Amino acid sequence: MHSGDPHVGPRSRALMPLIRVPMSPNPLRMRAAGVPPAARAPRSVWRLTPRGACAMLLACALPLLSGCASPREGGRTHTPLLGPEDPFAVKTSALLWPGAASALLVSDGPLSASAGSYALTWRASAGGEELPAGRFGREAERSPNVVWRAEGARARWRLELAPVTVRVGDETHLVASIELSVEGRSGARVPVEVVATLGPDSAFPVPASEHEPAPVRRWRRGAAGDPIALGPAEANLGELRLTGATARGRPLRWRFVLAASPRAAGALRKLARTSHASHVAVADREWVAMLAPAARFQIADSTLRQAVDEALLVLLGSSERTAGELRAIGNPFQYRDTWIRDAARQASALAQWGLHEPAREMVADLVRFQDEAGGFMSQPGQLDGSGQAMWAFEEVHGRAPRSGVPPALVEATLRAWRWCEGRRALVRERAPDFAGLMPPGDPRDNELAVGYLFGSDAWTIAGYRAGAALLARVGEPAAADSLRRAAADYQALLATRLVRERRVPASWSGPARDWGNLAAHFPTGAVSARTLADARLLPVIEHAGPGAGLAHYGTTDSLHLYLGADLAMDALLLGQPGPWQSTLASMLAARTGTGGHPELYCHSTRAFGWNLPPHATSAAALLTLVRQGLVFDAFGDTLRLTLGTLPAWWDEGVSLERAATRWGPLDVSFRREGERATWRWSPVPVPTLLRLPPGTRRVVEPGDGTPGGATWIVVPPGHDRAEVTCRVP
Amino acid sequence: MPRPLMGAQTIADEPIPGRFGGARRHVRGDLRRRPESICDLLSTTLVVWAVLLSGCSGPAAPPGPAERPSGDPRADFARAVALQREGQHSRSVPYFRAAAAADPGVAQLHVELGKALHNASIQMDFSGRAVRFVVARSQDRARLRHEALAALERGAALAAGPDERWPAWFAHARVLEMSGDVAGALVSVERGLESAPGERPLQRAHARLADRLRTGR
Repeated sequence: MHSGDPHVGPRSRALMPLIRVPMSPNPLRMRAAGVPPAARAPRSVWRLTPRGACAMLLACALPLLSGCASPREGGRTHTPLLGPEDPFAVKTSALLWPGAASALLVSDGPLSASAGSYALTWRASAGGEELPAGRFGREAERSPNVVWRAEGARARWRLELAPVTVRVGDETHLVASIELSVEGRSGARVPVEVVATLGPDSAFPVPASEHEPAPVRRWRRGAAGDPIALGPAEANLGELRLTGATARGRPLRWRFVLAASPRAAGALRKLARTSHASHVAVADREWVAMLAPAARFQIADSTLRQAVDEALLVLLGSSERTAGELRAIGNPFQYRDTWIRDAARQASALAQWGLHEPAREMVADLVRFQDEAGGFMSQPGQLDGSGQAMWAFEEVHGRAPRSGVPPALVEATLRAWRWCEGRRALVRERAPDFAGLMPPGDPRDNELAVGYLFGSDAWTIAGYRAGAALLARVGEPAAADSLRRAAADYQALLATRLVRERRVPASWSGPARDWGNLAAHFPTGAVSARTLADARLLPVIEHAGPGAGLAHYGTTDSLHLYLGADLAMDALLLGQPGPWQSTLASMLAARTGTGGHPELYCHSTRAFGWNLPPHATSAAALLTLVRQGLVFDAFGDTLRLTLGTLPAWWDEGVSLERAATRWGPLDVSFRREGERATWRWSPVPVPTLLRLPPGTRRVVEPGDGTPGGATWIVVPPGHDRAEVTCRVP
Repeated sequence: MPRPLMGAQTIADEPIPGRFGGARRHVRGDLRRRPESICDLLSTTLVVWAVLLSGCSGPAAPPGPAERPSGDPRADFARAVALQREGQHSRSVPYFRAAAAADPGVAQLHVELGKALHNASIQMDFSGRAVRFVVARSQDRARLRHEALAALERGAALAAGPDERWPAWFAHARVLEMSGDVAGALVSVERGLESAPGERPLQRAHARLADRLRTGR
């Protein structure tokens, strides 16, 4: 994101002079409400003690009065907002930027932009009508800028936030360029009052740079030298009162610049010299450039297209770059930290969608979690970390074009495998009842149990399988064979144990919540499809709703956005598209206006508490669901196309270009015209399984010897097209 | 799912009796010339840990730029102990590190450094809204944990005799156990028992870990 002098285009120049206009001739009137004389002194700074109760604030909002302006010519302000209706009790949006170590939570009711420990809040009225409730969304596809709009009887309101980044030391921080505007709905003049308050806030639990000393906070002076407001937050002295009048075609517009971290506050003045429109344009342009390498998904369903783009923004936006190195964070607001289990999924999804570079960096960062003995652990007691790290290495490098696998990852894989084998040997020796399993874990989340967790075994097997593939890729056949045999032995061990179980258990040693066991087949490959069919896991997502297709967590009122997604893929592999379709629909219905999924939410209250969206693993689950539904390469054996689709997709035709697979970048398109379903795809050196349109059955033509079943066919390696006659029975 | 944060529990939660379990003593003596005085210091720190490190610590600001080891090993060790008493494990690490670097052949300095590194990796504070790790990034906490294990192994390797060696392995086991590596912890305890088969803390730890491994609970 830009930090220097951004390009100022024709559109933005229209706004630039307005910032410099002296306040007195401006039709708007501003007054510093209740500002003490001392605080009115120019360039005064009010310092708060670091431990001053909730006064962990800083002067990082810089409002600039931009005055009246006509709506942007050719602008997007009157186009419908893109994005779903937010179903949650609290309407939020996240302003994110890849690699930024801070983010802003934007909320409606009251309208605010929060950095976690301080927030800028707007209260407003037009003609006596209070600021109405609004909705968040985007005004263009592939835009990272957040827009909020509200329609009242007297006026239309609009808030737009553009992400701008600032380098601070070895970190990158986020600053928001914000524009608030209001336009009357009739020709009559409507008086408007806006009160912007910079005050303490605790909208989310993990703000960036919480330990920064000496928080300072103030309203700065306007560009023309008139004091806008200056003072500390206590007793509402951090208020900025703005008044004016608007009518249809005569909007009022105000400018604010807000840092998402105290560390970025020093850059505000410089950034404010650039017009808001310019920041918007630069953010759009740079985000589109970042997405350029990504797979191109062409589908008439704009909701799904938008959801995919939003999920990619969440995945890249849930990262921090420090000293040139990128680390994945699962959530920008709730914990802003790395869990291997989240980061592995995040990197995998990015790799599947062709964003190799950030994915490569994210898995490289995981090596930091490996100890001298060889085990990977990001959080105490989470013994699935070694398998997940190995799996992630191959997920990314197995799909990377012309990529050499870094020797450090090869070495890390071998060490992790040896560590896992060593631990399993100890269990074999000391705990005969659990011989051959990974040792007991205590994850303190997810399964919420201490014990021999199936997930530790499943992910270790996944790691072995992935490690074997990675080693084979770098020309280490002997080591690859060792890992392959270890994986096979381990799978056989689990299969034997499972014969004694009624269901694939979350824990081998006692009660535990479903978690790692739901990944038993996809993506870990720990149990076979045959075992999966008998495993009684699919009912976890096969319920009538609410949230059909989603797993519950703890209670039936808690809907989890990614926990059941692996089962949806399992259902596809078993030839059952129904659960996958339900999962997709429920995931699409549980997004904020700017596409952020929470991790889980309460259905009855529509609340997600402090586990605020967006959650990276939920975004990764959606991307994996769509990508593997269209182009399945997860097991590296057979290419499977169109496992998961909707009937409408076939009528309109869908294509996915540059899908990153284990056989290189792949283009695929498919369509149904009448009773003919057709596929085109890039040839691969493995067999390709094609799933027919959902709800149809194959009509075998005389002489058609193509192997397959009623809903699928298999074509040999090297083919690049197929046609099948199918009809609804 | 929502990530419940673990409570702050340090490896001194199970104080070691015997020579390390004595009454509190004042720090005295020359760290370089009198190894006994180091033991005095160490025993003091252990007692202090047992008393102070049961949970919440005060808000821990990151070390200021002026706060750094003096270069005087005795002063640095004393400062480290003082910081420990305040629950400032993260801030104590540079001082323990400096003391160990100044006397690299003293096993117990490495052991104390290892403990401090581990405690820093799990140190928490209350920010006004949530209990948080003082070392915010899990990568950094992992690094501290890895360094702690290495320091404890170094301490065990440098130990002059069983009385120095078994506490190092005991602490090593505690770090692994608290990290969730029960099997690894059991191995560490057994290495301690090789040196000091009669030590009750080791025997109790062995029984507990073996039971955890056997039952999965």
